[in-house]
Amino acid sequence: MTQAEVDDTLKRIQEHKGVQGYLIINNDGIPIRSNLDASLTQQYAALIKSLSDKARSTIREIDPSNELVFFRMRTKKHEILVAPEKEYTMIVLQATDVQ
Amino acid sequence: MSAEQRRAELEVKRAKLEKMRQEKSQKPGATTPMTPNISSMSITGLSAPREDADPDKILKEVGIHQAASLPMSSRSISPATASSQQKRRPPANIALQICQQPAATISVPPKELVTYSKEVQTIESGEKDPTASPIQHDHLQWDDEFQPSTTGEHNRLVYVSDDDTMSFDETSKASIGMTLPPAIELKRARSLKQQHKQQSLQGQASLTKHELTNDERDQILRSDPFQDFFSRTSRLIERSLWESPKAFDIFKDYSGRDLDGQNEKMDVGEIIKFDREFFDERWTRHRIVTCIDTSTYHPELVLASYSQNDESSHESDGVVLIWNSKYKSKPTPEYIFNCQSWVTSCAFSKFHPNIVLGGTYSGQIVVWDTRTNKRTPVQRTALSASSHTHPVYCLQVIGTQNANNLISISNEGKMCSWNIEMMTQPQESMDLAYRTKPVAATRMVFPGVEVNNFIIGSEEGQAYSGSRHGNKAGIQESYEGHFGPITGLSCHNVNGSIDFSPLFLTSSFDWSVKLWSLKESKPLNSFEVNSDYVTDVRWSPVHPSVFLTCDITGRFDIWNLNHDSELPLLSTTLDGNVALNKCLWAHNGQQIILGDDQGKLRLYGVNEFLTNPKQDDFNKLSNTLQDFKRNTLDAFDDNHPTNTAAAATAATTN
Repeated sequence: MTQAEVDDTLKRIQEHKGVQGYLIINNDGIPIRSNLDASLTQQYAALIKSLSDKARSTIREIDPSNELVFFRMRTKKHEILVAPEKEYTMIVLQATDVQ
Repeated sequence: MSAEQRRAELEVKRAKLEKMRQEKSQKPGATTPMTPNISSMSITGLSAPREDADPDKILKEVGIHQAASLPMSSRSISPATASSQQKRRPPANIALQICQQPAATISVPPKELVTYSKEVQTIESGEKDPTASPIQHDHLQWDDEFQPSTTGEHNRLVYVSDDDTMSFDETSKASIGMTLPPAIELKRARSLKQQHKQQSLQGQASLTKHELTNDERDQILRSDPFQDFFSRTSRLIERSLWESPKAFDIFKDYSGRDLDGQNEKMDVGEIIKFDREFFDERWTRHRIVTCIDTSTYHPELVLASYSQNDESSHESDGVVLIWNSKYKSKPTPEYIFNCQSWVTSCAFSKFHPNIVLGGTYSGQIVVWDTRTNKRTPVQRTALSASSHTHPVYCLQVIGTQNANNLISISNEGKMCSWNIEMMTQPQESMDLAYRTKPVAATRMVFPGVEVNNFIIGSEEGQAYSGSRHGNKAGIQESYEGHFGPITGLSCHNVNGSIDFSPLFLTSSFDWSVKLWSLKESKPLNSFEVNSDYVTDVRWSPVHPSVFLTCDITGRFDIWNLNHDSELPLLSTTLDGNVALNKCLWAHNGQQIILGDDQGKLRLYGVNEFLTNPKQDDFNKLSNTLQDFKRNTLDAFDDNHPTNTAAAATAATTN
């Protein structure tokens, strides 16, 4: 995938109905790519990262052979989709009351 | 007089502080080497009684190896703490250190907070010093102006507070009391501090990266691990995004109605129902669908190969996409593969779940692997005389899990068999010729699970049957009947009470579809309802008397020979100026896939009665075949009175 295709895919994700923003962070919780404003990005990066780490360690503790692959948090206003991986994590915010 | 001495000391110290401030403004870089020294100074300053204990050792414990300045500074400290009058003027950098000394004791607590990286925060929150100066609290926020500047700030603060020595003493005492526990715990504190220092450096580094992200960002984005991560997670995210409307319903569902009911069942009278189409703006526009295949491992995956894009020459010529029919609304392919010349035929490898094969216009056969993240082929056959030099129109994987081969035929009549693991050279190759005339093959099928016998359709309009090995390796029989190139070839492959495997269907540019048996050299029946080139024909994999044809006017027909052998059961023409190029049944016979010349793949669901054959369907079909035979014999008699036996019968009937 070239840079342009990465951009294309991100644009497609962004233009999907209800998507409010996306965020790609690395292991240290530093945002690499985001289309939210800076303060929100920072907040989400730090908070979701710690939550994701906690979730990951929870799954690991319950069953060491298992690992966290994906989780979605549904709130009243948004749905937060988080895809954590070894080195990076992708977070997408989607509004729930789209209809 | 000690008070005066004290005052003199303080004056000297103040002067030195001023000097230090000046030097600090000149040398900002000296701050970081200062801080470790500060801690060391503080330790050595406080453990003045222990000053004879080797300061180097202490410093080494803390992890600082500043051999050059250390000895001098340590030496200078001990006299300084002991009696201020012995203060000498050490060189510039050490002067800083010495002058730092009074500040040292204060700077320790802020230093601990300085090491407040994000990872550590939760751990440290319990131990945090609540009575530490309120100024320090400010630096707990996750702001951008974080550590690098705060060390300087703290030092500045310290200098300011130093003017008021009383307050400085208080704060220092308070901080000392809180943060510098007795010697026993000092070591642990030191190791903690080491950790914190490392983390602070890391934190600093990460924060500096944070500030420089633009270059680093691009670098990261281009790196391989990121690409891997991105292709995986973007797929995940897209799938969940596209499928989540259903999820909304789950949450908003007040009555708990059955969601499955939303998938409308087909009416009894409705034979096919449009399911979805696959089209990608970038990759399939202006391209013709050249071949379709479905996976045996994952029946929802559809493989399609496309011709070159004449409109935009910068896109790669060869495109092969894997679509997922399970996700109803996701509009993007699961996998995208490219290669240099356009792909004329493609196939999933039946025995390797991750291998995709393609035969190209240039004669190369390419292998893609879905496990890698590459879009280009992982293997390519050589463009040599030993392999193909003409377009490869037919590819099929035959054999069993353990012994499988890839058979390919190119337009020049060369048939090669390959081992998928080793594609540099064909295992064997054979030139197909019928009575010394090379066969220009356009279609090839190995009926059922055959590995030796095959059927070929050619450009001249004849179909041939042959075998790969054996006494009569090569083409054995020819089936003549078509007047134009054969575009579609399909062997009957339904397991049932009666074996119809000698039956095969061919479609051709001569507007007709013909039904043959391997045992007869003349067609059993000819279906001539089309008024243009018929581009493909396929038997249903589950129903013995059902087959599908498509032609270049965008018309596709579903035939049921048990229902009517003259007219199709269903005939539909697509809107717009589309020409259908390929058609395929899904493995379970419940879906049909049509590829057109505008790069679109259409999926239709097929009604149940066409997918569940009844017992007597087989019998009916054999009766129908008998009828065909009788009809052809009669026609034969009528048309060929020169045949003596036929002439006799003709004479008798006439």
